[in-house]
Amino acid sequence: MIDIQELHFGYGRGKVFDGLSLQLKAGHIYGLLGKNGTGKSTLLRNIAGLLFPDGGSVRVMDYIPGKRQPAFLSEVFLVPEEFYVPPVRASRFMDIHAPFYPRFDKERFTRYLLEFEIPMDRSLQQMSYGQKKKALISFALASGAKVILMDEPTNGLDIISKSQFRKVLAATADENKCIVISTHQVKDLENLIDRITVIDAGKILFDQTMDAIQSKLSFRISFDAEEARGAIYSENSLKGNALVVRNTPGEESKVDLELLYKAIILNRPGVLSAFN
Amino acid sequence: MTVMQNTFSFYRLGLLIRKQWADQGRLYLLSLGAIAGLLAITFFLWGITKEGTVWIEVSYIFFFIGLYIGGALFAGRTFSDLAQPTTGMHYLAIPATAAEKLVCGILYSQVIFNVAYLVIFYLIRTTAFGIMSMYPSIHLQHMPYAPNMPDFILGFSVAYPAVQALYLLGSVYFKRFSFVKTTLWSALVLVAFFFFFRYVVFPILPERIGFVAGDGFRVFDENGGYVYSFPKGLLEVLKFVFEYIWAPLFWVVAYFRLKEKEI
Repeated sequence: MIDIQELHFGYGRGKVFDGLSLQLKAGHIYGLLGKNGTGKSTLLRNIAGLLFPDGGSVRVMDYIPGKRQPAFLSEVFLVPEEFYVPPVRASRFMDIHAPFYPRFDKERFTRYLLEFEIPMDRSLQQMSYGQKKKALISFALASGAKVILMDEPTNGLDIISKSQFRKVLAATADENKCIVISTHQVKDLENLIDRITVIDAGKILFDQTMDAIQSKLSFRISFDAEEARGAIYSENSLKGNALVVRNTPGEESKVDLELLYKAIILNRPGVLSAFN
Repeated sequence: MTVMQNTFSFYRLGLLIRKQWADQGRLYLLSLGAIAGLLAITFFLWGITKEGTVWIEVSYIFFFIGLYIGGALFAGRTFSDLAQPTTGMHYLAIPATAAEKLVCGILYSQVIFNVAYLVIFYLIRTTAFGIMSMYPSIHLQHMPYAPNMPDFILGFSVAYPAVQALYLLGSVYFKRFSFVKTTLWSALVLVAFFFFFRYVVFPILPERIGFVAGDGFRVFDENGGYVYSFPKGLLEVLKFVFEYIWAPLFWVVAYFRLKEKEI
């Protein structure tokens, strides 16, 4: 669905991507993880056609994003971290923008707004940042777009809203959609994403499905110092040593995204060796 | 499943016009209200400071000053959304082509604004002249001898769409302070153009070759009589092109600039 080959991109002289290749398929919710300034937002904007590659190619459902054809724009919806909403009520926003999206589901949009407790009769610009974001996420999910890109969607959402977000997103995902969520708040996306891609310094450090991670790695708490020394990654916590180890016994453990992320950043060869 | 038209769709243009009105309608109405207020104040101050004869033609100057300033400001805001990343991303991501977005922008800044301005000006001028005519000390009259007035009106009317199109282009070309930057760059280009002709083109031309106002390029003989000039038909075409090419030219550049815009 999204095919990125040898992507080169930079702002002025500063290189962001130097030959990045990545394929994202329909039917998945991808978690795009990485430190600040590693190019997550830039990658999403390249996919959405808001930035053009300096070299290489980006193709989304056989469209070249940079051409910004209406058929492409109605299939790809980007929810940026910082965004704009016009000074109209949510219902008016829907009336004005929905006709641009042929498969827009008005009933679904209204349902999501109710779920997120967004008042329909208040101007969007008078709402809090979190409310605006939830209204925009609702619109994105109801738009019928096959590719939904979200940049730090849980930033600014309260605890209840984060849980509502996960629920709504899980209900929207289907085999035709490709949802890409860029975040560094990995805890918010546990149990939601089914593939993790970590980028750093413009390169893909790690790209695996949750199933593969679960089968190859084990996340556990241990008081055994010997086990901690042999772990791919370990850190002290109040409960003992939090470990990322090879899943040699083939047992299933819950993936701790935060721990995994740290392991990838601090001991990438160790993590990758478990997958070879 | 219907195939989406990816070049130009009047349906989407209609949607864009509706969206633009929803987003900016209040600002447009306030701006037109402000213009109406300024025109009313101008006519009021003009009326109360006058005694005796009031030349109707002076109102044409007010008309063009208001039209040029208001029109340039309005056109200069056409793509102001692109100045900020948040509004720019929202604008570029709207599923419509660059051509549709450009036509929508032209429609608001170069058609609707001008029609609204004409109506406002006409209403205020009619009201002001109506009030002035009630005072016996004021005599509203046409200038008895104003031979250049038709040329003045025609010249400013022909140049106006080009000026507006230039500011529209400026709004997509410059990220910030587009109105000021467009004004400065235009002035700079005009001055450079003048100096280029004055100090480069004319000095290198042979003595007997020159430009004659209204007649274009000419070659003279030793006695000052011309031996060659452009054919009249060609001159007419060149004159027409020179007068009317600018607005479409600026629109075309704005179209490509909009297409290539990155945020």
